[in-house]
Amino acid sequence: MDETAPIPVNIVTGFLGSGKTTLLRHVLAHPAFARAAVLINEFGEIGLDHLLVERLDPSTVLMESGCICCTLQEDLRTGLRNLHARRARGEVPRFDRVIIETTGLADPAPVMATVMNDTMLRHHMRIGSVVATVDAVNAPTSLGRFAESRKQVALADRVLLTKVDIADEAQCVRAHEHVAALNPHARIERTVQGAAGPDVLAGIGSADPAERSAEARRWLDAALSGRARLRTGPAPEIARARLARFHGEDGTEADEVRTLVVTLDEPVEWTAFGLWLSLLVERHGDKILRLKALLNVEGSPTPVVVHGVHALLHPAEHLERWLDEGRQSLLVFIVQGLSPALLERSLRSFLKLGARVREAETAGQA
Amino acid sequence: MCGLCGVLGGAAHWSEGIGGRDGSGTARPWLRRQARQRSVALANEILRRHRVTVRDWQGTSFTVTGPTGRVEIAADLGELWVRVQAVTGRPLDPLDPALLEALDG
Repeated sequence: MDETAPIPVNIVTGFLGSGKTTLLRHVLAHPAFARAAVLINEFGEIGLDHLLVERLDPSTVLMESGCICCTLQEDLRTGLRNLHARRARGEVPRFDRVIIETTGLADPAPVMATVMNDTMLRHHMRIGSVVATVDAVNAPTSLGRFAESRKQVALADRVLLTKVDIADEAQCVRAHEHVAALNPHARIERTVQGAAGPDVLAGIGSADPAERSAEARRWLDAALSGRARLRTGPAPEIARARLARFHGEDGTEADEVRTLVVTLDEPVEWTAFGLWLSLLVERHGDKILRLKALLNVEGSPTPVVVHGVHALLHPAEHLERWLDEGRQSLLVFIVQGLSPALLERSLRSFLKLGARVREAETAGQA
Repeated sequence: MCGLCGVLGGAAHWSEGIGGRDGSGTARPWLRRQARQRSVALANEILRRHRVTVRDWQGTSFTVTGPTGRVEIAADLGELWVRVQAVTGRPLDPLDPALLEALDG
């Protein structure tokens, strides 16, 4: 391992009782995670999660109180800084990954923000993939009733449907549909007793170019199939109605989570896109739960990936090569309380302006 | 740190290092300049109806001049919009239909 490379920080999230700890216990038993450090927080008086996870990993740091995301960002920041300092001093094993388990009621976004915004942490750590567990039996209830649960799914790169051994097939399919409707780019998998392979924590932010490309391919396929299913798909009427409800297409719920998938055939003028997205996240960052874009940038031979959460955008990066010959740009936004149609119109207006300015520039040089 | 004003350098903006006509990013100085010039031209098009003018400042920052003559300095594109709000007194909304109609020309 390159000792100077930023350490990936994975986030394991999921609603109360959805199997986060079971997943962690399984994942941590795999040799690939022998050098992972685990940060958990105690929620409530029992601290059950702590008791279970601590036995697995001696470098577990227990947060002092409450919920990581709402009240303990400073604790998380301090916890991560201390962990890194102890690693540098040789007081703890040289861990090569940090896994943060959030509470069942947590919003993962502030956790990501803590790592990405801290002046010290952002140089030593990077956000890896976010994994959410969803109980297949109770998915309609938790996703239907609790905004926290929807947010966790919307932010995830991967969603693991848990308890599929006690759910029947119809429940599993329904849970899958709910998740896919909330997050069209997530990779959704079924697990029994947390049994997931080591690649469950791999992600698009990986230092490995091949892994980055493979991850891009996965979410691209998921996004396109999700869109097809939503707009035209063979989904039965009842499922389509449910998808529409989750996408807020009936327009009745202003704060409902909605998804926008845009494809662009023309190459993207990067400056216009940069200005547009900067302005969008500055003005509406609180309503953008997640965004991922694979862009055919004008003049660039390879695709550019942009992804972020709220107003937090990871530095844009080039992938090694195009995944297909089409070279179509694809953008996926998961938003809350924003009109997808207006968002798309705005993007296209800014890009058109970019093309006009570029043409004027070229004409001026000729 | 900037020797002139003593401002500590922040992290690079997410959009930096991408673009350039030959696909080499903005690593080369002239491509970086070209990208900044285009950013300024575009920002001025977007802000024309608000009577706000953006200028490149030493290739490191942007100056934002409002309708009253108030001038603010923005370190990068992210901060640009905060400064625009400071000189106009109101936030610019990229989803404002009136703005989009103006941009569509």
